[in-house]
Amino acid sequence: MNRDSLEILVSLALIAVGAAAFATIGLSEDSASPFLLAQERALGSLDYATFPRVFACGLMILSAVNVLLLLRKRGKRWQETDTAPARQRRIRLLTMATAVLTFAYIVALAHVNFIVITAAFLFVMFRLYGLKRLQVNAAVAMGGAVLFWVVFVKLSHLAI
Amino acid sequence: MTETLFHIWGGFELALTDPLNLVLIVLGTFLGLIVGALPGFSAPMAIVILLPITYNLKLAAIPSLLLMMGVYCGTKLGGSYPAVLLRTPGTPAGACTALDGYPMAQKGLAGKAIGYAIMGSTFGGIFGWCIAVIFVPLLGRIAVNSRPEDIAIIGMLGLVMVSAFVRGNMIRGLMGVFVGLLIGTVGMDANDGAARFTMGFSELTNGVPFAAALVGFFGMAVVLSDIREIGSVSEIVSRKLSLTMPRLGEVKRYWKCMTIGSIFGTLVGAIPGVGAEGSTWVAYATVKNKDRNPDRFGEGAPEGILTPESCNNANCGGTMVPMLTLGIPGDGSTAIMLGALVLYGVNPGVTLMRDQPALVYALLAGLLISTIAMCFIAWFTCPMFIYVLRQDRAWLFPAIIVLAVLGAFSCSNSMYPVYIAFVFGIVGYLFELCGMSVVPIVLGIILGPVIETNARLALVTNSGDWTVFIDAWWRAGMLGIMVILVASNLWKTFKKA
Repeated sequence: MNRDSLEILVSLALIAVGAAAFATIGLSEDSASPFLLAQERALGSLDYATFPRVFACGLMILSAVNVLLLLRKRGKRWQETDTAPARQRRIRLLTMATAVLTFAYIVALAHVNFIVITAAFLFVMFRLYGLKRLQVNAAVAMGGAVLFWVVFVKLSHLAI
Repeated sequence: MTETLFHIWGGFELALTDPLNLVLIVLGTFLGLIVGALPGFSAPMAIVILLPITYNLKLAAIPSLLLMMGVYCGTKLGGSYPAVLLRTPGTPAGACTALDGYPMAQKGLAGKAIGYAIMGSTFGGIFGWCIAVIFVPLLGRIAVNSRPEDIAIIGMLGLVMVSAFVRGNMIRGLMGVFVGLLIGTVGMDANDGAARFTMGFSELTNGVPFAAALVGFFGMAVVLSDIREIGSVSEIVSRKLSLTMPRLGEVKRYWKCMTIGSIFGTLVGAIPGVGAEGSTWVAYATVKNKDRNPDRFGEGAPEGILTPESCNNANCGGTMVPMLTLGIPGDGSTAIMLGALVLYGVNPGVTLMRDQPALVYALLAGLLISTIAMCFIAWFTCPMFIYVLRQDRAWLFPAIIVLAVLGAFSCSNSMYPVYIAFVFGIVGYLFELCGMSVVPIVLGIILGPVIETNARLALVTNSGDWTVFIDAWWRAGMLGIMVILVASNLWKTFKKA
């Protein structure tokens, strides 16, 4: 996928976000205080929904304009700059793997001991990033996890 | 005048008499130098990781912000080490330094090139501080009399300026701003108690946790965007470095180029969203064009290092002016510092000077102390950077992710902000991939509630009369500037397309 196509997708997603925000803000009225709302409207002020609606409209209009501009200049392929296609593929793979592993780490943190899961996460990440010396990786991962535990759990009293 | 001097003195007293404050400034500056020296790492990333840590350590607002100030200041000089030794700038603002720094290092004068960078940075830092100290009280005194309608328009102007000058075209900048503004509306409305976009989650009643959003946008997103740095260990031009500080005579000889650099840095720093990157190139080009022998530039001319470096650090002083007086950040780092103020319960904006003068002057004092500390730390730790620069980023990225997770967790001692940070990390990464900056989003989150609250207040106090936003020349002027900025930028964008 080239950069323009990705930007078009992101812009379309933002249009959807804007539309959803515009459509759902009215539902918040149930939670508002009717007395305060009536008083506010009587004073000529703007209520809770005005600004979110304006922001949602702004987002939709700008994203739509961005899509139109991108469609007009479409055809100009994504400049791969100085990166070779094989390296580019590897970078994308690493990025996706990093995101997935980070998510897995976050989910696991709630269920597994902090030192164990952090050491495992660091070790897997070092391997993923191509650091080959197994023993050094394991030592740094374990040392790092213990250091984080001392600083954040012991000293800062994080209830993780 | 006497009152201002008294406040400045008070700021130094606060920053210097408490040993903790002094230690934190020095520590922050040292960290900043290291962060700046590592290509792919940035001041916002370091500050955003420090923010939840300092908050969780129960540090007060002043020591916490002084630490951040040290990092902010230190990264500016830190970026010149890899620029000189690797021709790979550690920060975008340091790119210009590589033009003459690297050729000088190739001639075996790496120590001298770093010496010039330190001299330029210190000169620029002090120059920027002087400007900040003059203009912050002046502008602060005017700003403190602002009415709600003024504050709302100043906030809008800040957002428009950031969108206009940020990387990419203005449409992308404004898209980011609107995303941030929408995020800023999440939570219970203070006026009528409506729960906006909470989707039934009670955690969202107080809004999106700001620190988690920052960790996502400036921590996780940056790691994901910079994964390309992994495995690229650069060849250092000089493995041994003996620092040669320029003599006093050289300061006299090169004062003109340093002054030009500092003026550009301070002025550009005061414009929200522009950042130091652009100003270094403009200052460099100005000095080069004024020189009798411009061909020397690019071959290792001292002015080619002194100008961008002085510009770089003078920028810090410039960004302090809108940040401390109007609550408008000049770049990503100052946006996070404003976020830190919000986290500490301080209202950033035009009332900051009136309500928290001690904080404002302590920060200004911290800026000068950090600049001086930076000079000495950089002097003595120079050889250490050779070691730092030879390390692979693969060791650091996983640690940054763990720090980001811990930072987000510490917002409320629960996993919920961590998930928020992860989501914003992915959103920020997609934005970066499309060439859109995340700075406008963060600014939208900060300034959105300020604009909304004050605009609504202005209408209530004026019986719903909308002309209140244009009934004074300065308000009409600010709206005029906004219209011109938006119209000219959109015209340029459409013409290009």
